[in-house]
Amino acid sequence: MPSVAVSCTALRKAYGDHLAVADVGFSVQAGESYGLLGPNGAGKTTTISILCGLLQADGGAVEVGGAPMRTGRCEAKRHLGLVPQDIALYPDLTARENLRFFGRLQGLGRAELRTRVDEVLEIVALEDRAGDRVESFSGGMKRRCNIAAALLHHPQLLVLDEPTVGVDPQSRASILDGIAALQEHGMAVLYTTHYMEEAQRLCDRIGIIDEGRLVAEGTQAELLAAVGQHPVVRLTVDGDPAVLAGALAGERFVVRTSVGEGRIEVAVTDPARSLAPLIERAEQVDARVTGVEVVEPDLESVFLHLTGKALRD
Amino acid sequence: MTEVVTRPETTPVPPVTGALVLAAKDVRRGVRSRSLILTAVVGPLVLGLIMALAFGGSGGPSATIAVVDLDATPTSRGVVSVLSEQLSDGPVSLRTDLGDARQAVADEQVDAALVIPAGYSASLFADPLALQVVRNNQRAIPGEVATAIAGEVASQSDLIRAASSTVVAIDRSQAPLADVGEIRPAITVDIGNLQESFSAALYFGPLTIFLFLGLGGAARNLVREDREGTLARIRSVSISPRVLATGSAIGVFVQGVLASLVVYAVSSLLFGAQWGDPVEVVLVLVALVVALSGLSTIITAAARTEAQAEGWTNAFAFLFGVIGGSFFGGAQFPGLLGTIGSYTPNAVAMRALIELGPGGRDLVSVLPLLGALVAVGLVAFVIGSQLMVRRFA
Ligand SMILES: Nc1ncnc2c1ncn2[C@@H]1O[C@H](COP(=O)(O)OP(=O)(O)OP(=O)(O)O)[C@@H](O)[C@H]1O
Ligand SMILES: [Mg+2]
Repeated sequence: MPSVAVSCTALRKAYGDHLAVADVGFSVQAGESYGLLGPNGAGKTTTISILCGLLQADGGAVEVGGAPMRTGRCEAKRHLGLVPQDIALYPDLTARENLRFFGRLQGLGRAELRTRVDEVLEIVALEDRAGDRVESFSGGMKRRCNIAAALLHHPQLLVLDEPTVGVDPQSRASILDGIAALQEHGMAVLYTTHYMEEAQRLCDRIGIIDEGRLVAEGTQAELLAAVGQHPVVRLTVDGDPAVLAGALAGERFVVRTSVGEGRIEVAVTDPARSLAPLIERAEQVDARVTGVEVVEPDLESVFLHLTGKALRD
Repeated sequence: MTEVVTRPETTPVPPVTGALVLAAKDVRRGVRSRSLILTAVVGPLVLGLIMALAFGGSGGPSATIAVVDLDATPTSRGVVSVLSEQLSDGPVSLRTDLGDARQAVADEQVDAALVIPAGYSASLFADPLALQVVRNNQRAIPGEVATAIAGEVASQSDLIRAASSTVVAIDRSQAPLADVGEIRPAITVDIGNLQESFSAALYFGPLTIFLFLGLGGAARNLVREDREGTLARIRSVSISPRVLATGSAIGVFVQGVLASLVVYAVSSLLFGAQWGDPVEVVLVLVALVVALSGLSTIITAAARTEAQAEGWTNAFAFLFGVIGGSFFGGAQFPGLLGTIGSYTPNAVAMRALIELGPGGRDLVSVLPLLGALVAVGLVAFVIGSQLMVRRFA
C-alpha cells in the first residue's frame, strides 16, 4: 500500500467569476486522519468533489493510492469510499438493498457482497433494521447507513463530507467513535466539518479552509502554537470591536487581540485580573459587552485569528 | 459502531454489469413506486376503453370506401351491389373511373378505394385477379379495412365464380352477357367485424403516448439522484457516463416492455381487443420501446432540472402523439403535418401493427418498419450517451 493515501496539489475551481477553490493542496498519509475545517461556503464540498473525481478542476492534480484521479472511469476511484454530505441513499429501498446496490457497483462478487453487507450493517449497528426502507429511518440511522455504503469495499481512504450534520449528540458520538475505529484499523480518513470539536477530537492533522483557500495546516498543537498558549477572553459586543481592539492595544495584560464580526478575542496573561479592565475599556469606547467567555485557546480562536471570522455564526 | 472484519477482493465492475446493476435498480424503484403502472398501464387502458365505448362497442372510426368497377360485367356489378348493401357503415360511393377515384382518395373525399380490375370476371375461371386498393397513407385504418375487404372478397372467389357460372349456364342461349343486369354472389363481408379487428389501435395509440410520458421518468430520476447525492456516490465508484446512459436506457426499455405487455394482455384478454398474432405484436411493441428508450437517453442527458425533464417529456409526448395520430386511433393530419407525423415512431409502429393485422401482410414485409424503429433508438442512444459524456466529463 502506498504511504500517501491522497495528495492534491494546486486545486482550483471557479463557478463563473466566483473562485470556490483557490490553490488548495494537501496530502493525507496512509492510516492518518485529516480534517478540513471551514465555515459554510468555504469550498469543502467543492474540494472533495474534485478529489473524488466528480468535478473537473480548472487546475491542479489529485492522486489517490498513487493513481491519478479523473472524472470518468479510473483506478484511483477503487481506493476511496465517499460519504457525501447529503444522505446519498434511495429512500424507497431498504438498507440492505441500498448496500447491495452500491456494493455491486464497487465490484464485490456475490458471495463477498453478502458477508460484507452483514459486516458493515454490524459496524453501523443497523442489523436489526436491514430490511426496512431507508425512508423509515431516523436522521441518525440514515447518517450511519450513509457511512456504511462507503465501507463495503474497505477503501484505503474514507472521505466524509460533514457526516454528522443534523444528528443528535448521542448518534454523533457513536459515529465519531466508529470512524476512529476504522482509522485504527489502518483506513485513512479525510473529514470535512465546520464543527471544531469534531476536528479536534478525530483528526491527526487539520487544514483550515476559508473562501476557497487553505489558510493554515498542521496538528492541533501546531495550530494552537500559532496563536500562542495564553488563555483567551472572548467578548461579544454591541458596537465596533475594532475600536475596542485599538483601545486595548497598549495594555500590559493584553497579549494579542483578534477581531471578528460583533466579537473580539483577547489573549491575556491572567484572565482573573483582566476581566474588569476589559469591560471598563469597552464601556469607554461605547461597546456594550453582551457576553463574556474565558477559554483555553482552541481551533475557534485559531480560525478567528487567521480569518477575522467566527467559524460559526 | 464496531470494527471492520474482512477486507474484500474487488475488481472494477465491467461496464455491462454496471449498466445492468443500474438498470435493475431503476426497474425495482419504478415498479415499487407504481409510477410506471399508473402512467404506462392504467392510462392507456382507461383511455382506450373510453374510446372503445365512444365508438360504439369495439368498432373503430368509420371509413368511407369507394368502389371502382373497371370490369363492368354482370359479375362485377353484382359484387358492387353486395358490397354496397353489406358495408352498412359508411356509404360506398361508386366510381367508374380510376383517375377519378385516386383523386377522391387524395382529396380525402373518401378514405380509400377498392378497385375491381378489368377482366376480373373472366379471370375467375382461371387465376382470379385480386381487388386492388387505392389508399392514402395518412388514413391507415381505412386503407387496411379496404385491404381486408379485398381479402374477404378474394377468399370468396369460389362463391362468386359459382354464381357467375350458374347464370352463364342458364343464359347461354339468350341475350349477350353484358345485358344481364347483375349477378349477385352469396358472399358476406361485414365491415363491423373488419373494423373490430383493428380495435387494438384504440389502446395502442394511448399506450405510445403514455410510454412517451413514462420515458421522462428516467430524466427526472437522474436530476433527483444528482440533487440527493446518490449520483455522486455512483460516480465516485468508477461508473463512466456511458455506463450511466446505458443503465438508464436499459431501465427504460425493461419498464416500457413490461408496461406494453400488460396493456396488450389486459386489453386483449379482458376488453376483447384484437391485436393480431402475439409474436408479431410483441415484436412491434419491443421495436417501439427500443426507439423510445433511445430517445429517453437524450432527454435524460440534456435535462438539468426536474422542470426541464418534465417539460421536454410532455412536449415530446404530445407533439409526437398528436402529429403521429396516436390520439385518434391512427387518423392523421392532412398535408405536410401528416407526412411528418407519419415518420414519428408511434405512427410507424401503428402502421406496422395495422399492416400485420387481419387480412394484412406478413412479418417480413414490415421488417423495414421495425428496423427503422430500432435504428432510431440506437442513433438516439448514441447521441444521448455522447451528451452524457459531455455533461459529466
Ligand atoms: N454548482 C455551483 N454553482 C455555483 N456556485 C457554487 C456551486 N457549488 C458551490 N458553489 C459555491 O462555491 C462555494 C463553495 O461551496 P462548497 O459547497 O464547496 O462549500 P462548503 O464548504 O462545502 O460549504 P457547506 O459547509 O455549506 O457545505 C460557495 O460560495 C458556493 O456558493
Ligand atoms: Mg459542503
